[in-house]
Amino acid sequence: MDNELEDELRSLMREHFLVCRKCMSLLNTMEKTICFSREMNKAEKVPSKVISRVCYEIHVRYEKKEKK
Amino acid sequence: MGNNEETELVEKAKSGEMWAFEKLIRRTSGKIYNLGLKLLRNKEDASDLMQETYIKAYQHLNSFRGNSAFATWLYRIATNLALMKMRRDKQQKVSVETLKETSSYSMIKEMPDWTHNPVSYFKKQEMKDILNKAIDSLPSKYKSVFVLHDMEGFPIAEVADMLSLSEPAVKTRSHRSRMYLREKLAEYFNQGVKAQSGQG
Repeated sequence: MDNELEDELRSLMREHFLVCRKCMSLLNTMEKTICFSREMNKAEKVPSKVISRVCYEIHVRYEKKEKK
Repeated sequence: MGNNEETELVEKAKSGEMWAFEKLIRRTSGKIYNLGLKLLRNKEDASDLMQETYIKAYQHLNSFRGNSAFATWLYRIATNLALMKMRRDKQQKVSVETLKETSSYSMIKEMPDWTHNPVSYFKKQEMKDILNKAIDSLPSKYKSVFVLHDMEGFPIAEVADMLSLSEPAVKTRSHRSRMYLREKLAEYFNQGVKAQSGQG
């Protein structure tokens, strides 16, 4: 699932999944859980006033720093 | 943003050119804001987190050596700030013992494979609420691993680096979180199936 397994171990696991219903179900449901977590939390646009506020705060700090 | 362009902007920001830092903010703010939404779950806190992150980044800009992407460095700052906030939060969390039990292979219950049911079969908002409630009930160190690795797609090694954890620790937390969330979803799906077939 994380693409972190060695090829050999991955193919052994694939073979196992073909004959073990419990593990196959575990894999499917786990993948779907992750998939839903991503789908249900789609990226939102940052309100422009929030970006402006952050930039303003940094400006104020920059100015203070430069005056010092 | 290309690597060269980013490096140039960071260098200019380090030398005091505010427009360059502003440009970096505009280009990365979406990622940081959305990370905040996932970790803290409300817009006001996500906005505050974003502001704190950029202020801290600005203060420590000279310590950014460019070993990772600028956005990854910001993720690290934002996640640590969010973790501090989450730790102050008194919300009831699921215990680590429960997470250990849910994820132990011998304890895995034989459960129907609900993945063949189309999502439209269930109420999307209801499912979203259940899933997000379950994510929010994870202890903060588990939640941050799940959000960074599974929702944001960072590899294990980067998450370990961001959270100052070992890779095996990240893998364990990731596995336990996934198993717990899977079980919460399974409960929901099974109830839905029972209701549809008139058993519930």
